[in-house]
Order: sequence, then structure tokens, then C-alpha cells
Amino acid sequence: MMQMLLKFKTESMPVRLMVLILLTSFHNLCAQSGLKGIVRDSSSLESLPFANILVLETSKVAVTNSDGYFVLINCPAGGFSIKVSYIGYSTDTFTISRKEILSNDLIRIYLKPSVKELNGVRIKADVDMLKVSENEIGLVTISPQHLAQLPSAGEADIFRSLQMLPGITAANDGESGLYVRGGTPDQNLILFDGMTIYHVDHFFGFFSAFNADAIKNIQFYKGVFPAEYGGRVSSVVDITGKTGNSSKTKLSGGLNLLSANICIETPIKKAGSFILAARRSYTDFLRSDIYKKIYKITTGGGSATKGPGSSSVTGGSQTGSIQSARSQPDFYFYDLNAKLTLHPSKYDVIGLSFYNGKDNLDNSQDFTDLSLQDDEDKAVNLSTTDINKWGNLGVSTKWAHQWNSKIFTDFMVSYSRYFSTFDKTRNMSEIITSGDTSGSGYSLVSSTFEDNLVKDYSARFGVTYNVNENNLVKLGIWNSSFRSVYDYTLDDTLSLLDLSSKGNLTAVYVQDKYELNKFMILGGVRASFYNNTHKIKLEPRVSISYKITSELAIKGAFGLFNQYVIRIVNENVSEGSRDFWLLTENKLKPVSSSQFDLGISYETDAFLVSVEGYYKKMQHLVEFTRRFNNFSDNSDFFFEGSGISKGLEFLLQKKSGDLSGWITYMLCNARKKFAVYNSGHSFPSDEDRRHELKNVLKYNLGNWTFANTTVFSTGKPYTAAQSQYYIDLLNGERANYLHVGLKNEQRLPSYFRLDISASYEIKLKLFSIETGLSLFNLTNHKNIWRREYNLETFPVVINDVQTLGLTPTLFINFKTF
Amino acid sequence: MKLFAKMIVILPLFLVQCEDNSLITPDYQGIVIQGYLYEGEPVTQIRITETLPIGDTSSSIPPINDAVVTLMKGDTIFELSPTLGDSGYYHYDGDDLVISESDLFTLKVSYFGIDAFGSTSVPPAPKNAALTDTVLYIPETMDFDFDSTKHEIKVNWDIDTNAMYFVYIKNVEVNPERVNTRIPPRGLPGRMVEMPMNQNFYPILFEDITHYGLHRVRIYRINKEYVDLYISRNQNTRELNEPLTNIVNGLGVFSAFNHTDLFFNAISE
Repeated sequence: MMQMLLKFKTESMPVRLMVLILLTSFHNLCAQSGLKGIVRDSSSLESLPFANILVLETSKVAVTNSDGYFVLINCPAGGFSIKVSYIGYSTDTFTISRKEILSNDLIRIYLKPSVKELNGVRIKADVDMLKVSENEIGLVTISPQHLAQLPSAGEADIFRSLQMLPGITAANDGESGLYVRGGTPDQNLILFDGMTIYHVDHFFGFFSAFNADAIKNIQFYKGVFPAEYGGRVSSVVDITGKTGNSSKTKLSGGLNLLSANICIETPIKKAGSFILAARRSYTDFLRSDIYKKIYKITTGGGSATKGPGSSSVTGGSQTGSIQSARSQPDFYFYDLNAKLTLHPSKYDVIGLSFYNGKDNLDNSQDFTDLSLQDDEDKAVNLSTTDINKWGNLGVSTKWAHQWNSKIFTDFMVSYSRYFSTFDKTRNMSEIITSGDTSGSGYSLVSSTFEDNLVKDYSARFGVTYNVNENNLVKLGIWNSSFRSVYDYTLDDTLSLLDLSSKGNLTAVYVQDKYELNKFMILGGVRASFYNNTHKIKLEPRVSISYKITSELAIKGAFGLFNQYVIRIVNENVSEGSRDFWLLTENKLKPVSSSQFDLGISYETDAFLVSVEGYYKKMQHLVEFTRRFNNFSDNSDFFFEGSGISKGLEFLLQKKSGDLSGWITYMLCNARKKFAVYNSGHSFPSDEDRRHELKNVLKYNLGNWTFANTTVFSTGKPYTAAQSQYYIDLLNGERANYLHVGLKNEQRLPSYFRLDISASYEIKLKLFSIETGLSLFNLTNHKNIWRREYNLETFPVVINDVQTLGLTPTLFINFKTF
Repeated sequence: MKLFAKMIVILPLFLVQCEDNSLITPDYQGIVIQGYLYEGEPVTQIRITETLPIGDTSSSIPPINDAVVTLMKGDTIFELSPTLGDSGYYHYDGDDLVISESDLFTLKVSYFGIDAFGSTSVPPAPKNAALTDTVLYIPETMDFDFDSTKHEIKVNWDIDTNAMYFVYIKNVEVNPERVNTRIPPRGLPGRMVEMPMNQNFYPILFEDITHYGLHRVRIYRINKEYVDLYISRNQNTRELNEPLTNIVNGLGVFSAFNHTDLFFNAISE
């Protein structure tokens, strides 16, 4: 039979290899037996995903899955000891007795989190904040609770903290998006409890849309990621939400200068747990200085106080007065996480997760009873509707089952919806209010409307099969149905773009992690069929590591990737976040990339030194611009190009202790090539930062926690104006123009930012309070975000828009025990 | 540790290989052309200037008065002369150059060894243009019944597919009397303009009129290069792109226009 199967005809060598590995693996299926277990938090009883279990007698290592389960195969029959470690938790050693082995029951391991106890003594973790994988290159595990203690501008933000990792660009105050190894934020697969989140920003990108209180674990693949993931070309951020406290009801919350949040966790008898976390800004009714600062930077304006002079009511000898006006922009954001976790049996997990986040900016202005020429017989109304909304809604449900010591299955169904709406309508009307013609008048309306919608219905089924102590196989199927809509209309009737499409992506994958002594190989292949292109794409992935000594390891990886839903950067607008998502098809081809990583690391119990290099090549990148086409022809606004990104990342980490943190240096070269730019020559991409030096430090002193982050980097590339001129138009108007230099030819000045924070935790009998101060940009360094030109005057006036200066943030958090 | 050190030395080679850092020379040569040809009119509206560097505080762009400027119509070459004064304008002195519908012209500007040129053709005039009335009544007070036959006139013309038009209304009286009603006009004093459009009518409302008297309605048929220039005038300074131009080796526009004129009177009701 094996020979027959080996005749399976395929031109792909990786597929043949995988089939062979699978056959070998299943051959051994019944030959082994194993020990099942689960790792949990000792107080909340939350399961701990991706914890490390080391069998001391054999030096074999197992890792818990996303539900905290693990399997040990071929363990010493007479009993043995395991050392269990998890980021942010105290490493502990447990003895497994012969009796426990023979009972074949689920072993429960409880780890203590790194916290200060009532007596002020801190339980220390062996690894704080960040854990770099020993085997898989580019994989880091992050402890959200510890990372959230870093300094912030307004909000504790997980994604902004992720920007402090090597390989991720941090030198951009205005964006919490992750620019990973020369990629763009839309090229990252963001999974929250399995559901794909398409737009992860609050406040025009200033904050990420994830509440740190609702997150348990983040697995971040910043390079070649395994075959079980797909649909993106740069990285994977796999976020596991908290399941909630299974032992008792707990309440926590916090307040800062922008928002308030609350989180409640409660057990559901002995069957499971429930967690509800909500965060909302109060910026629509209480506007702090930090809100005003951020609003001004992100939107390019402050509070609007436009008078009638800026409207179409001009000329003559009018004297205008505003009787009533609402001109203060309303802005708020919120996010809501809810998760129900049930354990029908000790081997089953059923989870239902809900996520909703939304931003709403209403900059509408309504001038009523605008009197002109002191005419009391008519009412002039000038109103501007200016509403910008965007948000995500996601639901996922899953059933995971540990069938036996070898097989674990995971079935998930999810729905994700992203929307954004921009509606700007200007309406002016004159109504006669007395006399025979009372009620008559006229109105003038002009409008711009943009609407974007992405829906993603996904279902996936995965099988994890522990072949033996050295061999772990995963295989699965993943199906996603997409729908995208983008509509751009002027004056209600003139449709500039109306793009609507549907697509279905079916992917199957198989991967095998094989460890033999000092050698580890994780190989796999993902095959995807996308109905809009009617093509099957094979994506082989392989990651290899070899331990030269117990401390020194070399690693390498290679992979091919494809992306079918892409975000288009709308470069023709200047207000807010109006990028849009679209499905690819035959004309707008799926983005593809190939990546090669190589690295070396030296790790002791206390320190890690790591160097990783990468080379990433991207095809079918898309730029959207209306600059190169007749505006009466809407079909060709999209331009295709390619990109190359390569770099080196150095990391020195002190993993634990009262003082922990890291220093990282990144050398990067990210370039793109589009025929329409720079005569077809390549140019630095927006994400290119040639040098970036960062550090993260955290120091615990009794009840105090001090933290510092520093970023120093090459300035961002930008397209500069070279000269200016004007042309007299037919109507006598003089129009000013800028002659533009080569695309991204210039760079803004170097970026520097030093942030610090201090927090103090008070333990009371029933609850604890943590309060603190964060100082963002302590040195008040004048970093330039972008360079703008005022074309209303000649010569044009250059305006450097600066990022946040020194910005203090106060916060207070509480949690019950 | 020795191996670790070696790897650190080897890895930077990643960044050195295969980089496209070839020096890119901008194709821009610094000449700005504002060249307009009007059907049936002499050639006077050709202006040649330089660009002004960013950071220069001059309030005008430097004119080029000593360029060699030629206009080619088919195989015939017409050399243009600088107009008197330091204006950068050029004109054609003879009377043998006629701008007619469908003529194809190429403008060439030679300056300091650089040849900048652009081409255009003379579009047809809008056909069958007509006003719905030749008198527009301006009410003096708010107490009036709006009557579309009196308080609004419409200009119509035949439209060609994908053709673009531009309407320009101007009061042509020598000393026009300003409209002085309790209804404020919303147009610009003495003239009213519209953006390029692809439609066959344009309504003129009494509120658009700022002065009494005779008004000229000029309906231009315009070419794509002018539309491109028009829509490029609001450059987004966050993401700069070059304004659209039909000038090779330079900037600006060279375009031809054709038009039809109509007239109406604005009088007090």
C-alpha cells in the first residue's frame, strides 16, 4: 500500500516529502503510548498555552497547545520529573509518579504567575515579557500583562509594545500597526481566538484595538510561519484571549486620561468560565489635553471653528452672525471582548468568543439661523455632515478535544466583519420665514461618500497527532468565504469607484515537527485554491534548527506565501484613515512572497543573544492612485509592483530578575519597484528604516515597577517637493503646483524617543490598586511625522507636522483577589 | 562562541548582495510651459518660465525670455518672438498662422540645450449652444415667487461622448451696476466659473449674478491635458505626486481650446 501511495503523482517535491513523513508517522501510531496533561494558572485556573515542559530524565521537551494540553510520549515508566516554564510565570519542577502514569489520567500542572504577594515578596518568572523560541526562527511569545506595563501615550497598548521587538518598526508615533521586516500592517495575519481581524486600529491608528486585559497570550511569527497559517505574506500575530477565572469571580478595571475599562471574570459552576472586558474612551464628553494633542496629529486639525466665510456664502457686503453652532468634533472608540469557555469533560473545550470594536468621529457642524444682511425674514442654514466610522465585529466558536494521548482535534467556525464609512456632505439652504412665500427657498448640496466592507466566514478543522516523542504532525483544512465592497461616490450620483466582489479560499495543510537529538525540522506545505483566480497555490514552509551546544543554536527557514485579501492605501486623501480592503482576482492579483531566514542564538538561563537575518521578496504589490489617469476613466487606478526587504536583527535580552528587558538593533533595507514611479527604478518603501536601535527595560523594586523604552532610528523616507510653479487657468485663477522629486528619495530627520514610567502597587485585603505615571517622549524631542506644503500661497509654505512631544499619562487600575 | 562570532560577521552579507542602488537622474529639466491656443485667435498666450526652488522666497516664478520657441503645424514651423517686457510670454508676429479646428500643433522650447515640447489638437466648438432666454430677472426683495422661466436661464449644447466642457460667465459692461438686493449673490464679483464637466447644460441662477447688464457665456470645449492640469491643482501634500502634464522634458501644459459665446442681460425685476 505504501508503494502504491508513493506513486502518488505530484510535481511538488515538498508534497512528496510530506506524504512520506505522514506515512511513516501513521505506521508508528499504535506502537507508542503517552501521558496527557494540562497546564493551568494556579489561582485563576486559566489554561496556559504554549508552555514548555521539559522531562529532566530524557531532556525531551513538549509544548502545550492553544488550550493548554500537552502529551509526553515514551517517558520513563517508573516515574520522572518535569520542569514546566511559561512566560511571566515562575518555573517549577513536578514529579510524576508511577501511579499517575499507570492511571492514564490527565495530569494537572499549576504554575504561579509572577506577582507581588501580600507580604510584598515577588514571585519571579524565569522569563518576563518576551520569550524567543529556542527552535523556530522568528517566533516569539509575549506576555501581554507584562508588556502592558511599558510606558505608553495615553493607553497601554499591546501592539505599540510589540513595535519594540526586533524586526518591527517603532519609529512612527502615529501608527500602532506592525511593519514587520519591511512588510505592511495588512500583510500580518491577526487572529484573535481564531477569527481574523482586518483592521486593528483605534483613533486613526494611534492605538491598537485590543484590550490588554482580555488577552492571555500572543504568539508572534515575524518571519517564516508554519503551514497551519496562511492568507498573509509577512507575519502572524496569534492572540489567545483570556478564558476567565475558573475558581472565583474577579473584577478589575482602570482609568486613564483617555478611557476607562472594566473586566469581569467568573466561573460557571464547575463547567467553565466567562469573561467580559469592555473599554471605552470618554473623549466625546471630556477632552483631556492628551486627547487634543493626538486628535490634532492624527486628523491634521483641532477643534473646528469654521465660520460662514469658509462656505459658499461669499461676496457682497454681508454681515454674518452665527446664532447657534455645534463645531466641536465628537470622537469616541470602544471595544468589547466576551468569551465563554466550557469544559464538558476534562478532555473537551468548547469556546465562544466575541469581539467588537468601533471608532466614531463626528465632525459635523450645524450653523442655524445664520443671518445675512440683517434680514430677519429668512433663515440660512449651513450644515456639514462629516462622519468617519470604522470597526470590527468578530465571533468564533470552537470545539477542541483530546481524543487520546496522540490525537487532538480542533474545530472552529468564525465570522469577521470590518467596515469603514466616510460621509462628508455640505448642505446650504435659504428658507424664507415670513410673507406669502414663507417656506420657499433653495438648497445646495455637495457630498463625498466612501464605504468599505469586508466579511469573512471561515471554518477550519485541525488535527494534531503526536506520533512519538520526536514527531508531531499537524494537518487541517481551512475554508474562508469573503465578500468585499468599496464604494466611492461624489454628490450622490457620480460614482468614482464601485467595487464589489466575492471569493472563496480553501486551503489544506500538513506539517511535521521532527526532533532528533540536537536537530529539529518543522516542514509543511499549504495548498490553497482561490476561486477568483481558479488556481491552486502550493506554499512549502520549512524551519530548521541545530543546537551546537546546549546554549548555542543555528536556525534557518524558508517559505512561500500568498495573500488574497489586501488593504489598499488610498494616497489621494488627507483626512484620517480611509484605506480600504479588497479581494484580489485576475486583474488585481494575489500578493505573493518568498522569505528566507537565517539566525544564530546563544542562550543561558539569564541572557539571550540572538542574530537573525532575513530576505523577503514580494510580488504583485498594489499601489492605488488617481494621479496617472484621466479621471473619467476609473478602471486603472491600481498599479502593480514588487518589493524586496532584507535585514539583520540583533537582540540582547536579560530574561528575568528584578531588572529585565532587551536591547535590539535592526539593519533593514526595504525597497519597492513600480513602473509608474521613478522611471521604474526601485525606491525605499515607506517602511524602510535603515537603522533602528531600541531598548526595553523594566525594574521591580518592592511595590514599585519602573520601565523605560527608547527608540533611535533613521528617518522615514518621503517624497519631497523639489520646486514650485504656477499656471494661470482659463478662469483667471492662478493654480500653484509642486514639482515632485523622486518617490521616497528624501528622508525625514532621525527619530528619537525616550519614554519612562513608574507604577506603584498597593495590596489590600480584598483587592489591589496600581497607579502610575507614564512620560512619553521625556526629552520632548521634536520628531517629524510628515512634511506638508501650503499651496494656497506662493511661494508655498512648508510645515513640518511634529509627533507628540512630552506627554504625561496618569493611570489607575484595580483588581480584586 | 567562535562560531557565533563568525556568523555575526557573515550575516551582514545578506544586505550587500543584489541591491539596486543605481543613481537615478531626474528627468525634470526646469522649464514650465503655459501654452494656450484659441481657435481663430492669434498666438499670444505662450508663457515660458522656470520653476522656483523650494525655500526661495520670491513671489513669482522667473520668466524665460531668451528661449527658442517654435510652433509646428504639420510640416510648417513658426518661430515665436518674445513679447515686450520681462514676462516670459511669446507670440507670433505674422498673419499666416491660423488656428483652426482639428489642427495638430507641437510646441518646442529650446533653452540651455534642453528641448521641452508638447502637442495638442484644436477641438471642435460646442455645437448648437443656446440659452433658454436672453434676459434674467433679479428680484429686489425676498417677497417674490420663484419662477424658473424668469429667475433662472439655462445654457444647453450638444455633447460629444467623453468630451469635456468648461463654462465661464463674465459681465462685459464697462461700469456695471452692482446687484443690490436683499438676496445676497453667491458668485464671485463680475464672473462665474464652473469646473470642467461632461454634461450638456449649465443652469444660471439669479443668485449667481453680482452685477446688472450684459453677460457673456463662454462655453469652452477643452482637451484632456487641460482637465489633467485642472484636477492636479489640489496636490495632496501628505503623499506627493507629480502633477499631470503633457510636456515632455518640462512641466505645465500646452493645450488648445475652442468655444462658443452666448449673451444674456441681467436686469432688475
